[in-house]
Amino acid sequence: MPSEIGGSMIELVNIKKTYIDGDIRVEALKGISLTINPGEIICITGPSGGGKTTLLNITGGLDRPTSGKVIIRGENLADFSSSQLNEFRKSIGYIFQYDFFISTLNLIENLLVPASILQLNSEEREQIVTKAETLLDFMDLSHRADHLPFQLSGGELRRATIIRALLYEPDVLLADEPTSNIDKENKEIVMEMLRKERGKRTIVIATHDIELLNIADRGFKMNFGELIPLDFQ
Amino acid sequence: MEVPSPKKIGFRYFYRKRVRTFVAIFVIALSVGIVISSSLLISHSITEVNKLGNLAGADLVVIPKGSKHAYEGLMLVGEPSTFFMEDSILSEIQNMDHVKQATPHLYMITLSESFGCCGLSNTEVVGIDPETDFVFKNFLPDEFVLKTGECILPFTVPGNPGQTIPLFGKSFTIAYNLPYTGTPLDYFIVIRLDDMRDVLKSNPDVKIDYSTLISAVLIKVDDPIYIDLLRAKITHAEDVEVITQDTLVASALRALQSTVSVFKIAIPVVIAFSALSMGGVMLAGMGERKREIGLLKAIGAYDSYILQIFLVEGFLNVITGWIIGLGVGYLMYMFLSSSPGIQITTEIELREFLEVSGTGLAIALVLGMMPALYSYFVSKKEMITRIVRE
Repeated sequence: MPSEIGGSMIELVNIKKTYIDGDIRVEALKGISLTINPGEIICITGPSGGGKTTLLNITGGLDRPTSGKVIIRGENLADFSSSQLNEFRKSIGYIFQYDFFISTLNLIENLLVPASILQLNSEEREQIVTKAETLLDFMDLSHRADHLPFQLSGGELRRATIIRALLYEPDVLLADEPTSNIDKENKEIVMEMLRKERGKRTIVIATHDIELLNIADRGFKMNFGELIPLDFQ
Repeated sequence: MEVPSPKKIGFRYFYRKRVRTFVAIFVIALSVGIVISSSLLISHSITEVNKLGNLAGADLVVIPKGSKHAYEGLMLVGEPSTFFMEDSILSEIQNMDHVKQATPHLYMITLSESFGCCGLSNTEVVGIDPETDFVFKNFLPDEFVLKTGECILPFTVPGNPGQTIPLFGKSFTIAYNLPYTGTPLDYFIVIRLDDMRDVLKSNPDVKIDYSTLISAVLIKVDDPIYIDLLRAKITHAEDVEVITQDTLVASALRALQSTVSVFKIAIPVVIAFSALSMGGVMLAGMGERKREIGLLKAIGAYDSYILQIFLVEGFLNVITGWIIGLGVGYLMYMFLSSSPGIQITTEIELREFLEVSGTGLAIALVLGMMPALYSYFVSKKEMITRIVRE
């Protein structure tokens, strides 16, 4: 469940990110500041290469900003030790832009890997197994539970990624293009799932799909490194 | 449904990445096998050669000048040959001071067609004098006396006592089967010297008169301190040269040295090649591996969790490769030790087994674990950025 301690869940302060690509200097983020409150759903849209994924990765502690601060519940992420960073990552659910799975484990085993990383006890593990089976059923993936990742379609992998991210009830869900590569029917299911999470956890969505703005509390457009608030209500 | 532990993930990499696992096991097993078989072969060859010095019986052997190479080939690898000199040298030697015993040998190559079997075509026949013999006597029953028309078969030639075999056109009765001696005697069919001369004389194809010829005189001295003295004295005579056990062993070791050198060069080359192959195997799957380890890291896995995965996979490769390598090594050793021209025991003592197994395990660990640890460190360094930049 999201922490209620402090005013904000995540605070981004003047985040800049610069890549050097050969001889070219790319300013992916040009001083982004954003405060995200607990239980809030934020949706960031914008063109490809605009910096959405970079912002999500920095927010989740997978990448470091060139300058600026990421404040998590009042603490600067840059000051986190390796162990604290690990603990922080455990509290986050990621829906990556691409679907990463352990190629040698079947689908249900992939969903359960975080249970061993989170060191859940046997009772909690049983609950997670039951919940995973329920979510697989809900996402129409029960018949694929024993299949290896390479045996699944792109849409099935996408849905499985979403299940894995939500299964452990993270404080924060970072979703990069959650509705890409899935059909209309499943898109409705995904949107409904995300809608149900409103108030339960903080959600940041990066997407091309402007329909997802419908489930957000606030919306932004990422325009080549600059974050522009959208007035969509 | 069981939650997958890092050990289980490591096992799955071992079990499901079959091409990678197969190549890893193959490389480890081959390396361990080559090292084990080479070590055993080198160690046993040297032991066997040293046995020649202890067991062949004579202190000195006198042979015709220029036949040293043929004699060494005959004694060391059983290469059939024949050479001869006048037997007058025998009585001269027998009358020398400090000669305790002296016995003549006449070596003849068996006519292959007389046995009717291709496998026996190159067996050497030696004619001995049972009265003075002290070489074969060491391996015969006390009461045994080789009679006219009889022969003794080495363990390498099939046949049972009472049966007959043709030698140089005449039938000989098998009187005794000589057991494995681990000496050059294992190459010889033995008959009486006078029998050999008789059959050669009566054979119309043989043009030489062997009635006064012998191939070698084997000498035992009454005290080893006189070996060099006698050697110098006999060498002084014309048309003969003297071989001692020491020179024979030294020649054998010299001949063995080239084989040993080949193995000594081959072993590090094989290990280096194997290490490179293992590195290639691991690097080939690195892209996928980095993404998967990056995923685990992104969801909060500690380094120790990831290390366990690599260690389990590496350990399974090591153990499997090592066990197969032990079998391969022993089979290679059996094959090489039974190759034509090599007479080496296939028995391995427990201490020796533990030594070569330990060496093999060390090699397997290096080959199996180093790439696993390398993969871990590379993955650890790059894993999250790999996902971030996909």
